[in-house]
Amino acid sequence: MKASIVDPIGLDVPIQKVYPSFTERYFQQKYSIDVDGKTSEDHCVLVHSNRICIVTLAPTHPVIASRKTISKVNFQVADKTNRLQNTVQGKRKHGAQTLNPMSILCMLECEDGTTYTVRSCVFGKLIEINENLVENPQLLFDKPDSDGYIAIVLPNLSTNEKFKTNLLLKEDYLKEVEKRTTVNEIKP
Amino acid sequence: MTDTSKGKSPKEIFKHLRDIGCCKLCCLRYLGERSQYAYQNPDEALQMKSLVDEVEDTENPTKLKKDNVCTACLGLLQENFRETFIEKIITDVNTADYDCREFSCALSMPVSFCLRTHSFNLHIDEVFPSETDEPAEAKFMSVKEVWKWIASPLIAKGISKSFNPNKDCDFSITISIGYEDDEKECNCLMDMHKEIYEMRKKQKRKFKDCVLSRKSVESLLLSTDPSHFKKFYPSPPNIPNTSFTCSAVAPLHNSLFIAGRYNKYSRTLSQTPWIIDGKRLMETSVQELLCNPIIEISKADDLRFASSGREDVDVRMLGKGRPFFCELINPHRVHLQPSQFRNIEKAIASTTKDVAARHLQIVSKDQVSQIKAGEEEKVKLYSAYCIVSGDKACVDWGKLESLPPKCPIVLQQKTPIRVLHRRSLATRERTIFRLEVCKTETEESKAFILKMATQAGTYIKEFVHGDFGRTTPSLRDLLGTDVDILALDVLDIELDWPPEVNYDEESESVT
Repeated sequence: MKASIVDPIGLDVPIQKVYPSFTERYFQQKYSIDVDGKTSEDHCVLVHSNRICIVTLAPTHPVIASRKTISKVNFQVADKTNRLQNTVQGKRKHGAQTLNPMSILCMLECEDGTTYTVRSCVFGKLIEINENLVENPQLLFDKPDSDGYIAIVLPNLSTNEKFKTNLLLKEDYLKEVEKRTTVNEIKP
Repeated sequence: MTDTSKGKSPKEIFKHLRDIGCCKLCCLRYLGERSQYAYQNPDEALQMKSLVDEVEDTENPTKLKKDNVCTACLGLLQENFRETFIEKIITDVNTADYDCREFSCALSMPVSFCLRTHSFNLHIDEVFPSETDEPAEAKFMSVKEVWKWIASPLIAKGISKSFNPNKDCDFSITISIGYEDDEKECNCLMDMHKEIYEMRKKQKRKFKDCVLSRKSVESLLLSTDPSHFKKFYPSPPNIPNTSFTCSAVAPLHNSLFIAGRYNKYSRTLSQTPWIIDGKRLMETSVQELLCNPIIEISKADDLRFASSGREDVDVRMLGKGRPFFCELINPHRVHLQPSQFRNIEKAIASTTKDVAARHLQIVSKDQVSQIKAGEEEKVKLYSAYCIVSGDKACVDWGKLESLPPKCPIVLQQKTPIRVLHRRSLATRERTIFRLEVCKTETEESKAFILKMATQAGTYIKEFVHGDFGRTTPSLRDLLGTDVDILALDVLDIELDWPPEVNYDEESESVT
């Protein structure tokens, strides 16, 4: 039998000045702005091609935009609900805490005394909360679009299409943010 | 032959059986005959017992000529009905065109036939009480057994295969017998066992296909009091208006397993057909490229593909290839020669450059289970094309070279996000046994090649980029800089399965 001539690995990878990051390659970035009516408390939802969503902060969120130091990430969101106690079993993720867009994922307490509420932004099941944030809250500031993620959510299939339309595409988000800054400039 | 009936002579029994509408063979059955030869030569057997001549004397000759459908066998054992039936079986099996050398056959009888046989046995027990307690079912040959004695030599000749009555035969012909009045005759069961019917009708989900299966009828009849039974069903049974029909001839060959190893040279080819919401995402798949020629040559109805692990759509499978097997469902060709397998390999090579198959061969079912057993232990070799991210980043070769001595490296891997939608969430421990750092053949200064030997089940892509910190340690953690993986090859899977084909020897034996 003939020996196949195989190209050395990497030859078919186009050389680029800047390579897209892992996040950019696999996820579509979507946004929810002014969450719960609070100006510029913007969230980002990374939607994987397999529909799994990663909820995190948008770059315009005050914590990131104003370079705040996070002292604590509080996952005790209600008397009886602690996001750290979420457990899932099996392929179907049985036993997961269910979420709607307004469900609170955690509260961020900053050194300057301000607190912020992070919400789910999507309907679905909570698969995983980022436990690393307990030990290292600053991850959220350092790497909001990767290791500083807040939660992994499996959106409901039926509401899947609906939530997608409620979230902003990156270009629309940028437009909204631009509008906001112009308004701010006019104000004073 | 010993006379098992008390008081009555074989002559009396024979006469009675003929009177209630039994065919000659069924008479032999109820006389306790147990030799195949007798059933193949019934007239001779009856003469030997000096039954035929005497009967012909005493019985009205016109009654004999008017051969009714046999009360006991619905005509299955009657010469005039069975000939065309066997012809049909032979034609059907020959049309299906199997190359196996042995066959077995099974008759599937209509439910009313259970009633008929039960009624007949009750009648025999009553008219000719047995000295022993042995029930009629055990004492006499069944219609099925006798039919096989008569039909199997004829079918064997007609389809040029030898008859194998044992369970180990891989090829079976299942013949379904129909009967026009089946439903009508079964209706009496509804009155005979009213409570059970009512109960089962309520449990619709459990008994949605049929309220009473053949099996449940059989066990039900055994527990039914004979006098109760006779209230609802005549004993002996009525002479049937029509003979049996042949409702289906279903030849079936047990699965055949074909194994081999495959290579994949494309980064845009999935292992199995990739269909989402009924839409095909890719034109073809490794499975289809490999299996279509195998289906074609084996003329199987269907096929199940399985392999020792799987690679992503954008990963190449190089080296000796990945062990796989396919289970052929109902293959019509099972005597496949090594040369035919080599031809399949060549045919695959000529149709596509993306996939190659080697070491194709027939394997046993036991061998197939080995592929699953080896799953956990096997070591996989990979080559990964990695880049350091960031526009000012550059490869720190010194740091990279410090990694190989750190092996084995034990990883804690959370189920990667990319498969989390279909796998359960867990943290799995995986080991990197060896690492080797190489320069690339590309012009990219930020790139390097990492070769590694890992435990089966290690997610390589996640080991490199860390999957948002969900695999620890990752290459990113070890290097202290962001890295990404842009291409991946499986270099080898260290599993010696299936046995290697010696290509040199084979080609010698051909020439």
